[in-house]
Amino acid sequence: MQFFQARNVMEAVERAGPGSYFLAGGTDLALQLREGKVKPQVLVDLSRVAELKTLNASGGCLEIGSMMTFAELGSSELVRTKANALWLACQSMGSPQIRNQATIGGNLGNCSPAADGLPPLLALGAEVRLVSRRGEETVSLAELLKRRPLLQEGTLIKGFLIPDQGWKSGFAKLGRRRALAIARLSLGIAVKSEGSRAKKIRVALGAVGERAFLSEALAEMLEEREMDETWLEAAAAGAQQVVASALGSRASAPYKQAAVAGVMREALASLAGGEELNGG
Amino acid sequence: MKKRGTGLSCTWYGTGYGNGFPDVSSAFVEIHDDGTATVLTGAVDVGQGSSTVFAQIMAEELGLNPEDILVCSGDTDVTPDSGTTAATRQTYNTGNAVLKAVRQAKLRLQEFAARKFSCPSPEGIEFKEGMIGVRGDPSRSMPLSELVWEARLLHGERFISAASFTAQTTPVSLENGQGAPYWPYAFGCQAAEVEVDTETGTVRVLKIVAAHDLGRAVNLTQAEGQIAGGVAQGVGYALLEEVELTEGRIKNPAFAKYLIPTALDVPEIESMIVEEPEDTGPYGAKGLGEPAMLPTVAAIINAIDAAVGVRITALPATPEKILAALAEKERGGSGD
Repeated sequence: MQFFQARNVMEAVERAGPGSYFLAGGTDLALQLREGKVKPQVLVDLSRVAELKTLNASGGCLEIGSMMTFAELGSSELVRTKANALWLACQSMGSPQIRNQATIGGNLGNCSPAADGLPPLLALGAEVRLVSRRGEETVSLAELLKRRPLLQEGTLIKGFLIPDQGWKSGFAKLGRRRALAIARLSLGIAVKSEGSRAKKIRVALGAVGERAFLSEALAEMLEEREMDETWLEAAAAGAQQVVASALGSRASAPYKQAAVAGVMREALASLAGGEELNGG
Repeated sequence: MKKRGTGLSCTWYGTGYGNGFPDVSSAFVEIHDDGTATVLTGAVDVGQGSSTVFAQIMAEELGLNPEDILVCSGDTDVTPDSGTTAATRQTYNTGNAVLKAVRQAKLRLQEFAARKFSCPSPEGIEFKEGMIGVRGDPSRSMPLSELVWEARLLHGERFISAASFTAQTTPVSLENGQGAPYWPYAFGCQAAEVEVDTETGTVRVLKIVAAHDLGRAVNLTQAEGQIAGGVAQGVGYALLEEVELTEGRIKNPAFAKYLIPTALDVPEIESMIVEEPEDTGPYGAKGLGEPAMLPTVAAIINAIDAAVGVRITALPATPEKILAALAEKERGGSGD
């Protein structure tokens, strides 16, 4: 196996070819290497690529470089105010040690069914910037997650663009314990409201099936309604229906179907952010 | 909805191997002429603190500081067998052997000192803050190191001893159930406060109050640490830990899948040390290790019952089991 430490994106992409893997934080890849589940011919280390370690808000977007760690995002005031759902996910993912190492780009690249970063990014309407020798592409995360395979050979996740349009967002996760727990259910939700009325909704679920996904049906059911007690109950019941139909007869279905109501309630209770900031 | 409840649980636990199995600990002791002493035992300190306890016992007897004691433990080339670090037995059993051994070497030193200081009996010789001399007469005392040096080099005396302690246990008669399988017994009581989420079935243990009778706390900080460790294990036992088997093979043989509590899962722990001296123990001490985790499980399960009215009868009390029990209760309630 060859190991190559790239100094910039161009070098990284140049080195990526058949049998190559990009190494981000390594919290998933290092284990897979050790267990022999992946056998790269070339390992392209991204840890020294400064242009992937960026975080800024400009042009109506929050732009996050793929090599930003969960700890960095979770301690950013910018992320808290503009992407609360993601900020919340960054507080509970793994443990402090893992959050110091794991990156948001790696979270998508590994694309575990329980990836903590994906439901918030989906709910926030994130777009993904991809780059390869074939050129650059910007695609919505929701679309990208429908692709099989997720990424064409030699494609690098450069970063994420989160539109800054004054949405509130929230996140909740159900794990078997309070740290170092793989999500058994996770839910990201974003709401564009006018007063107490929900105008637009995006809601995404994780650990329900193969990949995190946006539920358009649930969003439609909750849009253009007063966010009152009835609405809250509808959101909980609606989430149960989505989980029931997504999981079908899987062994985990009866529990997850019931429990998602509580997760939805917690996610809604965590809704925050979206304040209009000067120069945002 | 999140509901809270409290539960209580008591334990009594016979320490030592029990049922007539020979329960023997041994120790070798030497008092040196530089004001230190050495104790050798086979007792292995796996983190619970037995080596510290033995150093404290030695220091207490010889009027030295625990850091003046070298504890050599668990080396089968040189240390005498002291049995396993199991059955909550090291402080009591090996502690007794160390105490017995050090008192033998100490007595010879007392006898030498009594002659030196013209004291009518060895019992009149006391050890205090590195000094040895006649009780109540500071003018007739000297540093321990100097006296041992004088005894060794000018009189050829050696302060070396070996002792064994055997715990009291008899087999239980299979015919009439009579016998005294264990001695001593440790007692404890714990209360748990939990919060149960009725929608997700998740249980959060908010607080455990743990009262334990350990006879006498040789080391208070270690005793509190053992209680905290026991409670943490009990929380895992009650809510998380499960060996999953498929055709005899363990499906979760690593900590990635066999979950134990993390620091965030361990509740606030308030420990209450109860000291009812045990006559046969070193300074009245008896074991605490295992009893500290035993009541936690039942206290948590009782607290869940108090919070949401369901009785979990198979461990661990997972969210799935709690939701299923709640649904069952709902059905039962509407059917009546």
